[in-house]
Amino acid sequence: MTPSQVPLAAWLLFAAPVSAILFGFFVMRRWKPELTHVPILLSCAVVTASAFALCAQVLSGHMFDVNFFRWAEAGTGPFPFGVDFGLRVDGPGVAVLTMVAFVGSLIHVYAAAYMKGDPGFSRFFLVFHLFFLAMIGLLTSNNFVQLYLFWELVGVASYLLVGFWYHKESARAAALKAFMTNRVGDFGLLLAVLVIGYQFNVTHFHLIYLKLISGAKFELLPLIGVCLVWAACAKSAQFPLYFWLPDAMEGPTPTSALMHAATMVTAGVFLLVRSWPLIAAVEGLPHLIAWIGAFTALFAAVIAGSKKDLKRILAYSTVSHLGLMMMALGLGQVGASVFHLVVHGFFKAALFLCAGNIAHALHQSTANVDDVGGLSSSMRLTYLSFLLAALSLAGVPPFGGFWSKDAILDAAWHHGGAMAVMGMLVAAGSAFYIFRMLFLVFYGARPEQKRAPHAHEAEPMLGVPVLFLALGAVCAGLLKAPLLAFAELKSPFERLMVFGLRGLPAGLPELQGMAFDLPGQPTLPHLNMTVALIGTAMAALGAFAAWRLTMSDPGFDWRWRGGRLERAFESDFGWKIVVGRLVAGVSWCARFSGRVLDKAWWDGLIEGSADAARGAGGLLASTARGRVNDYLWWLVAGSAILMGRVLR
Amino acid sequence: MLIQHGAGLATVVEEGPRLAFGVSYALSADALSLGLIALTAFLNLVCVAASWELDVPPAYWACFLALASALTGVFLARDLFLFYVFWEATLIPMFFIIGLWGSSNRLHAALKFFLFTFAGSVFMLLAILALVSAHHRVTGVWTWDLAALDAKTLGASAKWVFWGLVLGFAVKIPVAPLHTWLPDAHTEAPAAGSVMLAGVMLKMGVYGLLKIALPLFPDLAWDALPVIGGLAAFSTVYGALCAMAQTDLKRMIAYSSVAHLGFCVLGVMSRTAQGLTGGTLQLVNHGLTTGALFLLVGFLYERAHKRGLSDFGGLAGRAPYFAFFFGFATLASIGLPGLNGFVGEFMALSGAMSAPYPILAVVGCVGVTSRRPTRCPRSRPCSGRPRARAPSAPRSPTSPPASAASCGL
Amino acid sequence: MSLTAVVWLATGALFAIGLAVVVFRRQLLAMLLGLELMLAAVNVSLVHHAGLFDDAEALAVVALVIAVAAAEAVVGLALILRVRRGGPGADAGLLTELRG
Repeated sequence: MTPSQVPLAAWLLFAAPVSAILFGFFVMRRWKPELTHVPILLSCAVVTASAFALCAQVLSGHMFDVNFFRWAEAGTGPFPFGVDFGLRVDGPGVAVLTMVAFVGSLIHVYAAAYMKGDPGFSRFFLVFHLFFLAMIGLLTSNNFVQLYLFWELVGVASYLLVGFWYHKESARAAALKAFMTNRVGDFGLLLAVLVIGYQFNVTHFHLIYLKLISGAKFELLPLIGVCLVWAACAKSAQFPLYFWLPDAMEGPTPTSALMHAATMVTAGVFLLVRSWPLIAAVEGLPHLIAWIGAFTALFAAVIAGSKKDLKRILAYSTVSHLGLMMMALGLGQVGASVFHLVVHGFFKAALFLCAGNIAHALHQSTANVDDVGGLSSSMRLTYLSFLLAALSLAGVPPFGGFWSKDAILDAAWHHGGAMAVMGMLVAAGSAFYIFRMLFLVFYGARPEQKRAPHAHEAEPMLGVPVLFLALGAVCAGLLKAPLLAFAELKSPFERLMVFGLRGLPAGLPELQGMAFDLPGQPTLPHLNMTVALIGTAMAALGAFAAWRLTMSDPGFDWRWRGGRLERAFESDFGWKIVVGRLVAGVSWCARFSGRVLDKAWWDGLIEGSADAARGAGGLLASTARGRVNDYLWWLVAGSAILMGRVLR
Repeated sequence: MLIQHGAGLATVVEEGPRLAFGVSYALSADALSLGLIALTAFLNLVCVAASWELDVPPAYWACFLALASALTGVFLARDLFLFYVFWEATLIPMFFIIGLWGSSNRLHAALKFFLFTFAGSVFMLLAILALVSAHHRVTGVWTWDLAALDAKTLGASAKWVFWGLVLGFAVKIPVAPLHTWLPDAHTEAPAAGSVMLAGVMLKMGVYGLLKIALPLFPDLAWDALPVIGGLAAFSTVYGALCAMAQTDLKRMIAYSSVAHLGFCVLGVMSRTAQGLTGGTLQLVNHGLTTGALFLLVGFLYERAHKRGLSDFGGLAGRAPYFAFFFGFATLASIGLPGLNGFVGEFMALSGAMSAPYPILAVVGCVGVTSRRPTRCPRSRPCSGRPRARAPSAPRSPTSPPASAASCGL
Repeated sequence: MSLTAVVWLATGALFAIGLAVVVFRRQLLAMLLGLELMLAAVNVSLVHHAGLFDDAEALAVVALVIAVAAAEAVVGLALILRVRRGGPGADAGLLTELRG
C-alpha cells in the first residue's frame, strides 16, 4: 500500500480539523468571533464520519500502516537516523478513535451552547479543537516519536484549556500543576523513546513488534517498560501521579468532559496498549501495572465517595475507572481494557455534561452538593441522562458499563486472591459514589442545600447531546453482543481487536509475509454467571449503602464532616501532603541552587577572586607611598643586586 | 537540513595575502558557518528594528554593526590568528553596548563579562600559539591555517593544548560552572544587546568546539567525552534548576540559555550524525527563540521599567498579541514537539544516547523535563489578576517576525 | 698605596657621600647637590682611568657628563624653584603625588 492508496477518510481525519483551526484562527476570529464554532463543528462532523468509515474498513479486515515522509534525517549507514511521519489504522486505534470522534463531537456541540457569550469564546473553540486534533493524531501515530509529539501537544492543549479563565488564580495554579505533573511523566516517555531508538534502531511500532518476536535479547527492555509505565501513570492519572486530575476541574466543563472521557487521560492506557508487546516481554511488569491499577481504582473510589463538588466526584471516579483499565491491561486482557475505555468514554462524558448542566442552571462555573438537591423534577432531561449514565457506570445489567466491567472483574476473578477482592470492592465503591451523587443531587431537597429552587432545565442544545451520550452508554454493551457480527460468533468489538493484535497491516514493505501474533488477549471473556452475579450484587450493595446514608438518613453527609476523618479524606489519606512536601523540596532545591549556590557561593567565589586581585593590588600599592626617597632606596637596592650579579 | 561536518567540505574559500609569520586573511564557509551568519544577520536586523524608537546616539548603531561584522568574521575565519582577532573583537562592541546602554548595574556587568570571557580566551590564545609554534618547530613552516595544522606535531603536550582550547570555548558557551558571567551580562544589557549576546555570541563557543577542537583532536575529544559531556548534561539540569528560582525575567531566560546550550554541547560531543545535526540545529533555533523571548521582555521593560515576575499579571487581557507571542516563544523554548526547540533537542539527545555514555542522555532528559521554569513567565505575567502598574497593551512592532521565525520547521 | 687606589678611595667616598645625601636628605636642593657630587665622583674616576688606559674616548664621555650635569642643574633648579613657589615646598617628603 502506498500513500496514494490511503483512503480519503484517513486524510480527512487530519485535513478537516487542521483547516477548521486555520480558518477559524485567521478568518473567523477576526471577522465574526462569535461564529468560530461553525467551521469547527463542521470539521467534527467530517471527523466522525471518517472515523466510522475507517472503523468499517478495519472491521472488514483492511488495516493499514503507511509512512508518508521522513524528517530530521541525519547520517548514513545501515541505520540512518530519521523520524517517520505516518498513519496507522488498526483495531485498537480505530476502536478508541471512533469513540473519541463521536463523543468529542457531541461535547463540541454542547460546548457551543455552554460557552456562548464568554469573552474568550473563539479562543476556547480553537484550543478545544486543537486538543481534539492532538488526540486523533496520537491514536493514529505509527511510531513512538510521532506519538510523543502528539502526547505533548495534548498536554499543552489541556494546559491552555484548564487555565482558560486565566484571571482566576486557582485555574492558573491547576493548569500549572497539571502541566508539571505531565512533564514529570513526559520524562518517562522521552527517555523510553530515546532508549527504544538506541536499542531497536527503529521507533516504528510494528517493526519493534517484529524484532521482539524474533527472539533476540534486549537488555534495556525493562528500563523501557518501566519508563512507559511511568509515563502512562502520569497521563492516565494513576497512583502515585494521579493528583493533578481532580484539580484540573478548573477549566470550563466541556474541557473536563473531553479530557476525562475522550482525549487526555485515555492516552496513557492507549500508550500501554500500543506498547503492550514490549511490556509483556518484561518479567513482572504486567503484574506491577495490574497492582497499580487495582490500588488506584480502590483508592480513588473510596475518596470519590467523600467529595462534595460534583465535578470532583466524577474526577476521582475517572481515576478509579482508569485504574480498572490498567488492571485489566496488567492481567493481559487488552481487549477488555480497550472495551472499558470506550464504554467509559460515553458514560463519563454524559455525567460530566450533566454536572455542567446543573452548574449552568445555577449560573455558576461549578456546583457542589451544598448547592443543589431534588433536581429530578425541575431538570427532567438532565435527570434522565444522569440516571442512565450512572446505571451504566455502576455496572447494572444490561447497561454498557456492566459488560465492560464484567470483563475486567472476570479477569480479576480468574487471577484470584487480593486482586479479585479489590475488583469486587471497586464495583461496590463505584456504585456507592455514583448513587450517593444521584440521591443527593436529584432526590429530595435537604435543608442544607440552599440554592436548589433556582434550578431550571437546560436549553435543548445542552440537553440533547447529553442524552445522546447517555444512550450511547446504555447501548455500548451491544458492541460486545454477537448478534451484530458478520456471520460468525465474534462481536464487532472483538473483531476489531483481533484484527488489531493478530493481523498484519498493509503498507509496510518490511513486513510482507511476516504474520505473527502479538501478546495480550484481544477477545473478551465469555459471560461468567458467577462473576456477573457477584459483581451485580456488589453494585447493589454499594447502591443500598448510598441509599441508607443519603435517603434514609438525609443529614448524614453533613454530620460526619469537620473532624479528623474529613481531613484524612481531603488529603487523600496523606498522599497530597507527601506530594506537597516533595514539590516543596524540589523548589527548595531550585531556590538553593539558583540563589544561594549559584549566586552567593559560586559567583561570590568568582567575584571574590576579582576582589582578591584588587585587594592584593591595594596591598602592593600601599608600599608605594609616593616618597622620592623610598624610590631611591629601591633604586639603590636594585642596582646593588645587579652590580653584585655582574661583578661576581 | 543535513549539515555535513568535516574540514574538507568548505564550499567557499577566500585566500588573502600572506603576512608575517604565515598569518593570512583566509576565509572559508560551510553550511554551519552560513547558517550562523544568516542568524547573525537576521538577529542584527531584528535588533536594529527593535531599537528603532530608542533615543540613542549614533555610536549605538555603530556598535551593533561592528559586532555583526566581528561575529561574521569569527564564523568565516579559517586562519587561527584571524579567528582569534575576530573572537576578541566581538568583545569590544558588546562591552560598550552593555556598559553604556545597559540598566542600573551595567558597568559592573560589562566589566565582569569582559574580564571573564577574556580570561577564558587567554587560554585559547596560548593553545593556538602552542599549536602553531609546534607546527613550525616540526615542519619549519609558519602557518595558522586550520586545514594545514596538525595536532600530531604537538606530541605529548596535545592534551594541554586541547584543554586550553576547550576552556576558552567553554567559558563562551557557557558550560556550567563557568557560566556566572552570563546572567549578569544578560540582565544588564539592553534588550537588543541580550538578543545578540544570547542569539549569536554564545554560539561562538560551540562553533569553535565543532570547527577547531573536534577536527584537530578527534581522539582526545573522544576521551574527554565523559568530562565535557558530563558538564554539558550538568548544565542542562543545573541551568533549569537555577532558572526555576529566578524572579527576574531576563535572568530566568539567561539561565535557560545555559541549559539549552548544554544540549548543543551534548549533541556535538556525541559526534553521531544525529547528535551533530541536532546540536547545530539547536544552535540556530536557540538563537531564534531566545532572541524572541529577550525582545518580548525588552518590550515589557521599556514600558513598565520592571522585569520582575511578580510585577506583571493579567497581561493576556490587556495585551493579547503580546501574550500570544510570549506563550509561543516559551513553548518553543521548552522544546514542545512541533515547534523548533524540539527537533534539535531530540536529535541531540538521541545522538548522546548512541554515544558510549548513554547516561548523559538520561541526565539530559531530566534537563528537558525540568525545564518547566520557562513556563512560569507565561503563566505568571500573562494570567492572573491584572496588576495596577501593568502596561497597557504594548504594541510590539517587531515581535511578530521574531516569534514567527521561532516556529521554523 | 698607589695613585689608583687613592683615586678609587676618594671617588668612592665622594660617590657614597653623594648617594647618601640623595637618599637621606629630603631637601630638594641638597638632593640635587648630592647628584652633582655623584657625577663629579664619576668624572674624576673617568679622568684617572683615561690616563691609566690611555683612552681619549673616556675624556669625551667626561665632557658629555659635564654637559649633562649642567643641563641637569638648570632643569633641576628650575623645577625646585617652581615647586617651592607654586607647590607644597622644596621638600621631597611633601611631594607624594605618586602615591599608589
